Formats: sequence, structure tokens, C-alpha cells
Amino acid sequence: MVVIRLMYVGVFAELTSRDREEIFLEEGVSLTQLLQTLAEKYGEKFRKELFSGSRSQQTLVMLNGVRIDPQAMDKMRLKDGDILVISPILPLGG
Amino acid sequence: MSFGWAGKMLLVDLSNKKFFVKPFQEYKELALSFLGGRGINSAIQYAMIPTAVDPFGPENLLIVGVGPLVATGCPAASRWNVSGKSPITYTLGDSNAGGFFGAELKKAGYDCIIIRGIAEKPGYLLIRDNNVEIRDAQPFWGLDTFSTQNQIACDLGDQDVKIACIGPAGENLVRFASIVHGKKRSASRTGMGAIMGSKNLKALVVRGTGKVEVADPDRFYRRVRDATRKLMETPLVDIFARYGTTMLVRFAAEGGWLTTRNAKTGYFEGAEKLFEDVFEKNYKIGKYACSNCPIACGNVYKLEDASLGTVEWEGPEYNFIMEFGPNLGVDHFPAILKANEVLSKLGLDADGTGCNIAFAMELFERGIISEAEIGFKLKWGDYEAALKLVEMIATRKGFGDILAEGMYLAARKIGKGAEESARVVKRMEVNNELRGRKGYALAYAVSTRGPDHLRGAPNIEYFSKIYPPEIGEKMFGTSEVLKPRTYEGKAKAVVWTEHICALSDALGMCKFATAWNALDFLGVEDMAELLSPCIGREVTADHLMLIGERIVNLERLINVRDGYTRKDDTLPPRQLKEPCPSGPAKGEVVNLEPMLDEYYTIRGWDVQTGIPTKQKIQSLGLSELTIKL
Repeated sequence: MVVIRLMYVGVFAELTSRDREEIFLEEGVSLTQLLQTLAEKYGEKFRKELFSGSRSQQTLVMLNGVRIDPQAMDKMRLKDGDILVISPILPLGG
Repeated sequence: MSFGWAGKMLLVDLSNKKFFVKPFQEYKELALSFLGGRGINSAIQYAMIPTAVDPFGPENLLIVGVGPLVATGCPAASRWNVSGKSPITYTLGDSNAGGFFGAELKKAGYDCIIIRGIAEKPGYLLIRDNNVEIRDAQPFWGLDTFSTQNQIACDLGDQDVKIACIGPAGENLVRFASIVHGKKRSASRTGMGAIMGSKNLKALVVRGTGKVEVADPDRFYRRVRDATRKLMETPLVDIFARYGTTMLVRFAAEGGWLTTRNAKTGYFEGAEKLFEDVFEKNYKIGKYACSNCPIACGNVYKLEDASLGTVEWEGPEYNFIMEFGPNLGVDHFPAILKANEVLSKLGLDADGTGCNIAFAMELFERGIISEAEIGFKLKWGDYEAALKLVEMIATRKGFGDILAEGMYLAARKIGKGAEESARVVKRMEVNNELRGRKGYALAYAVSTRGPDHLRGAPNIEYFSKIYPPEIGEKMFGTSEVLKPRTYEGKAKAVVWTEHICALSDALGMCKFATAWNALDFLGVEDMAELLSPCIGREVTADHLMLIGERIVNLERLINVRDGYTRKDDTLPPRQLKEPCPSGPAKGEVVNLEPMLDEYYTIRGWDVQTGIPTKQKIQSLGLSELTIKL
């Protein structure tokens, strides 16, 4: 069992009604599987925002401070203590 | 006791080699009305720089100011402002930089330095606490900014001095020359480096060993802890700290405002080669933080390139990538990273330089200038030609001498219809594509220092996916304000943002850590919570917003006095009349006039002229403003 810390920004915080949570997963689960689990948990709007956004690169998925390319998510296995941020692309910095 | 403020103002007359020190009591009212940094600097410009002054003459002032929160322990409070009559706009000039210089100046005991006159020969101002002197800078004249700082520090035998200096561009009076501190922190816009060069002043060198006292340390440090926690607990900071502004290339590409080929369009076909992940993977080697900043948004990189050489430098920020990338048609990241180093060393504003080279490339494409005039061909994407032009501008050689005058004067000198390609407002280069974002467009048109995003461009218009619609309704009366291509609420948003920006600059806070950047960051209430125990006076958020409004109005009065009114609050015709030809903002233009009407009405300015009314001036306490120094 591994514990993943999740942080949601903007529309994702709104759709989940929280800005952070911890989730327990079996060892060896991929990032894609986690995102699918979240999509099932939070419904169609969340799924649409997450996956349509990812394809057009409008969604930012950051694992331990590193942006993850959607193509690489399948191969990425999650470890205990990983921190995942799910956010729209941000205009920070002006 | 001047809690928060360092307590002294230094006046320097370079012509007569004289110094005067003003104690806090003599500018206390000024500090309470305008705080410091940009606020006091603008008030001094208003009171002490007449309209008729030549920006390069002895009567122009170079004013360096620092806000009351700098060097106190307040997070992200490192900023310092340099001001004077701009040699580009011929009105209010002002630029803001980070790093460690501002904090050092306050530790040396000074809130502000006012420099007038012209030194007989190149010199530098050395401040070591109470000891002030002008030293010979002839051995450093001609050196780049990096070598200048190294050699002065070596000569003084003190590696802890903090230096802000000019490079060859400032010495040669390039109108968009910058003042550089460290490798990359610079006061760049409005040509403050050129004023410094005109005064034969190579560098400002400071060493301070004092401490800035705060009025109520227990309460203040509790507020510092709260503010730091607020900043660091939002995931937005994780993202910003990781990438800095490099992520904006992707964002601008998605939005359709990635300034491309002299802002002909907001779409660049090679944008993906310049995204933040390319930088992270291939070049980034570390992070950089300014004084007392917990975010550390700055990047450090290393480039090893067979033709461009090895470069280890700081940056680049988004605007640099945009100006030397898409705006010149360049999609070669190594060339941008090389240019970033070169411009810092030469002391050139990235926006001014990039815009002027893009302008030249368009003129070449239109056949208005030729290979015979320049010495080589100028084609979109030719970064080698761009780098050659950079050197020619800094040294004013050949065609570089014309571009060094800035786009407005260069277009008039070149003639033959060159004005049609010139993207200027109030004579200054417009550093962004604006058709796809209406609030930004309005902010550029009305900005008191000329077109720029750091004076009032409302980032709130990007946030429809970050904040719920109720935020827009509550703050600006409509949820539409959160969308970039709508007009609703934009005038209100620009007014609010202008006040936040003015306050940040006057307090010494980095805008990136404030509500200008994102509402989760430090808002005006946080600023009030920090400032009250710092200076020992209870200030409210409303009081601070009034000071922000006072600063913007005072700056507008300087603009008006220098001849700028509603007719000058405009945008280049390309942004107003030519629909964006490609990308996500295809078909967009800016319908500016109705936004201007709304903006002046909210401001309490005359709608026909854009001039603040007497009633407004009186209500802000500006009618009786007199400053004697």
C-alpha cells in the first residue's frame, strides 16, 4: 500500500470540492491508473477537464515538482509519499 | 524613529561633487503619503523635474528608491525602483528590479538616492553606510556589466558589495539601456540606463551593515510567518517556483498571444520548441532567489553549444524568450539563451531590443531597408543576424545607431513608410501581442510609464479555470472578467490591478508574490497586516488602495503635464484594425474606445481628455503637494 498526496488547483479544486487529499493505492499503480480512478470518483466533468485538457496540454500534472508529459503517464509507477498537483495551465508571472 | 524606513535620503550633485543627507523628519509626510520606492520616486519626479528638461541633461534626476518592507524580513520584499524623465517617452520614467541591491541600500541607511548633474569624468557612487564618495570609473568604462561588477568588487576588496551598473549600451546612450545588478536583475524599461550613462555614472555600489528596525517586532514577525505560510501553502507556488515565467510560453501559445514576427500575429508555429519542458530537460541547472524570497522563481541554466559557446547564466524570463524567439521568428532555444547573456552584459532592455530588431526585420521584409544599409540580410529566424544587430545597437555602430534611438525616432529617421511597422505607444515599444486579451490591451494603452504589462495588466482575465465565476462577480461585477477575450469588467479590473501594482512597487514587494499574479498570493489585506507593525501605524487595506490610487493619479498628472492625454492612450494600428491572422485569437482586434470611456469614468477623470478632474486631485490630497528637498 502506498500513500499519495494530491493537490488540486482551480477548476479541479472546484470539481472535487477540496484543494488537497491523500489517497491509498496498491503498489505498482501507474499515474494513468490513478487519474482514471480520480475521474471515476469525481465524475464526468472532472474526466472531461482532465483528459481533454491533457491532450491539448492545457492541464498541468506535476509529480514531485516535475511536469509529466501525458505520453509518459502509463509507464510512471507511483511511490509512497509522492505528491501530485493537478492544475490548469497557469499564467503566473505575467 | 523611522520604523520600516531606513531613515535617510541621499542627494548627490555629480557636477559639483556634493552630497546632502535629509533626515526622515524632512520627508516623513512624503513617506506616509507615497510609502517609498515607486511612490516617492514619482512624487519627486512630479515636484523636481520640470517638463522642459532634457532627459540627458544635468537637470534630469536619477532617483533610486526602496520601499518600507524591504530588508525587514518580509517575504518577497526585495524590489527597488529607478526613476527619471525617460529618454524614450519624455515623461515619467520608472523601472523596477529585484536581487539584493535594494535591501543593501536600506541596510546602509537610505530609503532613496536622488542624483542630479553630470560627472566631469566617468565615476561610480560608493556608499558604505555613512561614507559616501564618488570614485573614478575610467578603468571600468567600456566594460560589460558582469566585468564591471567583478572588477569593482575586486578593487574594493569586498565581494559583499552590491552593485547596479550600466554596460556599453548605457554609456552610448542607447535609449532603451538598462541598469543591471548581478547577472540578470535589471531595471530595464524606459531607459534608466541611458540616463545613468548621460551622467557619466558607471555604477552604484553599496555596502550596508545596519539593520532596519520595525515598530512591533513580535507582531510583525507573526505577520511575516503568516504571509510566508500563505504563500508557501498554495500549490500555485510549487508550480511557479518550479518553472518561473518559462511556463508562459505554453500559456501564451494556448491563448493566441505569443507575440510573433513584430506582433503580426499571436501564433508561432515553432512554439513547442520553446516550452518550459524543453528548457528544464536540456538547460536548467538550478534556481535563483532574490533577497528574502521563499519562492525562488528565477532559473539558472547552462548552455554548451558548438557554435554559440558555453554560457552559464540566469533566466530567461518569458518576455525574453518571446522577444528573441517568436517575435524574431526564432525557434532555436540555444540562440535565445545566448542572447539572454549578451543583453545582460551589454545592459540592454530585452523588450526594447527585441522589439527594435523585430521592427528592422519587418522593414527588411517590406524592402524599406536593405542589405547595403545594414551590412547583412535580415530575415525572420536568423538569430546570427539578430545577435550582430544587438552588438551594433549597444555600440551604436552602423544601422545600430538608428535602432538605438528606439522605434519611434528610428521610424521617423528611416521614413519611407517605416512608421506603419512601428509598434509604439507614447513613443515606447509595445512589448506584447494584445488582440486576444482585452484587459491587457487597455492596461497597455493607459499605463503611466508607457506600454507595459507590469503597471496594470490584469492577470485576473486569465483565470476562468482557476477561480469560480463568483470571484469575478464579487470583485468586478461580472464573471466575464475572468475570460481574456471579453470586454466586461476589464476597465474595473485594470484600475484595481494598477493600484495593486503601484502598492507593490511602493512597498518594495515583488508583484509575482502578490494578488496581481494570483489571488491566492499576498493581497492588499496582507500588505496592510505586514505594514502596520512594521511602521508602527495602523493602516487598512482601504487606506493602502487609496495610496495606490494616489500614486497612479500623480503619475498621470506627470503624463498630462508632458502633453499626454486621451489621444495618446491608444495602441498600434495593427492591434486596433488588423484582425489577428492566425492561431487561437484569429480574427480578434481590440475595440479600445469604449473601454477607455469606462476606465476614465471609474477613475474620475474627464472622459473627453483623460485628465484627472480637480475634484479627484483634491480628494487624493494632490492639489497641495509640494516637496522641498
